[in-house]
Amino acid sequence: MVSGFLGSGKTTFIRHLAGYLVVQKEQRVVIIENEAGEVGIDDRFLAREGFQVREIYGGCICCQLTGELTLAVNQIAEQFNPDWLIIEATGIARPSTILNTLRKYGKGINDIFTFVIADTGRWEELSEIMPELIFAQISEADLVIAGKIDEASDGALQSLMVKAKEINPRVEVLAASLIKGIEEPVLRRLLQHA
Amino acid sequence: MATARELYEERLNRIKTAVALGKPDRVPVVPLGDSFCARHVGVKLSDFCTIPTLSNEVILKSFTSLGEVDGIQHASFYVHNLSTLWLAKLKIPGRDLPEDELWQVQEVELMKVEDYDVIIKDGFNKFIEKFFYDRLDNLGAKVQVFVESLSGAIKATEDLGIIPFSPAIATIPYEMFCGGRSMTEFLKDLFRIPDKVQAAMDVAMPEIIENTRQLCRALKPIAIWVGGWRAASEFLSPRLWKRFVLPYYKELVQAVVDEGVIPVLHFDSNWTRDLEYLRELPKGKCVFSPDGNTDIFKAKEILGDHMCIMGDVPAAMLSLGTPDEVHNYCRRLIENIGPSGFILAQGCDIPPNAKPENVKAMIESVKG
Repeated sequence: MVSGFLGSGKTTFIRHLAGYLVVQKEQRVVIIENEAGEVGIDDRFLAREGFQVREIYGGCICCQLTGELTLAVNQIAEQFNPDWLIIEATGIARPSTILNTLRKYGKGINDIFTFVIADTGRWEELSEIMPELIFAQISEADLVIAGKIDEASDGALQSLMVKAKEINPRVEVLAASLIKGIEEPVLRRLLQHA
Repeated sequence: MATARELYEERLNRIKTAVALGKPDRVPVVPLGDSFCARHVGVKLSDFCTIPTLSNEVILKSFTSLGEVDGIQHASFYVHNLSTLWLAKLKIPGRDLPEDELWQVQEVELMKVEDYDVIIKDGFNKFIEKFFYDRLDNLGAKVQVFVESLSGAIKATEDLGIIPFSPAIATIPYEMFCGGRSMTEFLKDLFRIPDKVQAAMDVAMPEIIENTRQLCRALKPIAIWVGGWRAASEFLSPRLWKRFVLPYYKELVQAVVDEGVIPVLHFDSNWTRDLEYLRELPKGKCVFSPDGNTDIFKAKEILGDHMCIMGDVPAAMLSLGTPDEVHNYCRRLIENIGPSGFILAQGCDIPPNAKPENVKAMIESVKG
């Protein structure tokens, strides 16, 4: 599951990760886009790039999404049995909200691994405005990716890394630009975690 | 056998007793299930969400076939009303999405940062009239379809002896500006130009209050929906919540209460941190309606002697659980949150993929 606040770069990250898994590793991958109306440059670009994508719509808020998401997971497990299912979680949810429902009602799931993408350039701002959600996302992460580092100062990256460790001492934080791509050693390392 | 009028009075008394923190003869059940009702009776969401008269027929047909409800939260549904709350464009089934997909509020920047100055200079109503026309495809005219149908929907509901509980909606400037600016941009505004955001809110608020008063006087509803999700405690630091959210809700809720109408605080997402502050709202006059993310048992502990609580069977349980699971959860609510000052309902809205047998189990659970 790929979590992180709105605009943090989740879709871009998924594009790189899915591309690597499909092309380099020849794995079967399905992506669930579980966003809450967030529209990027092109909200269908993953599908246009040939990935198997299932979009889920959520009305006006994400409280209805978790049931729909779990039903989609169960259907995908039955119909496609993929090696990897990548879920883009809505940016306004705590991962645990989705994970608890998936663990209770999900079928065909061997393990769930949670990446959280943090917007390094906006870390300080978001931490001050919405500390509870941002800290909850970090504390429930298996791995944090400090994204958009080319738009942030060294100080901001350092601050994010220190704070993330304070919130979640067991979590590893990797830095990446995302927009320029993710180098293969980093992708390999990500998948070692998962 | 009781007439529809007698049933109406009995059910209204049951609901009003609960709102006044009393113990009714049994806990009332007042569901909300827009998209669920459409799927349940086999009507396409594309038709349901764009034809208010049809939505009223569908909602009544669905719920009356599943048991005895005391009321329904919405008498009818019209997808464009969502744009009036969040100043946002929508993806609509049959137009932008497949015919039976759920509608989606778009999280894009439709309101520009310069618009705060326009509101401060020209006032909110003047701004919103132009905004609806220019940027939301003449939304004011579209919404007339709903407005003209609403009294008919309310009457059709009452004629069945069912209470049309909260058929209209109102909210605070925070929800509107956040929806119009998009959450990402609005949070930047709170960080970078907080004084300007507050100035625009303070100009908008008296006009929103007056609009809400006029709505209450014209419609004379028992209750109205007051709320949203963007201003939830989990999305905002305590300092900002106390500045940009609480005072505006206090003012809006007081105005609704002054009009003799019950504000149903439809508070989605997690408000647990700030429950204590809701004690500043008028005692025995409001309904707190969380969506399953706020800890409803904590809400009982903090608000139980101050405000009626309504909820909160989670959407996921209605979609994925079993009737036994739903029944057991409802009984736990009835016995621990109720039996005084409690109305049984789903959290937020019954989702489109809820199992009818689960909704039936929820409705029937009030009987024991």
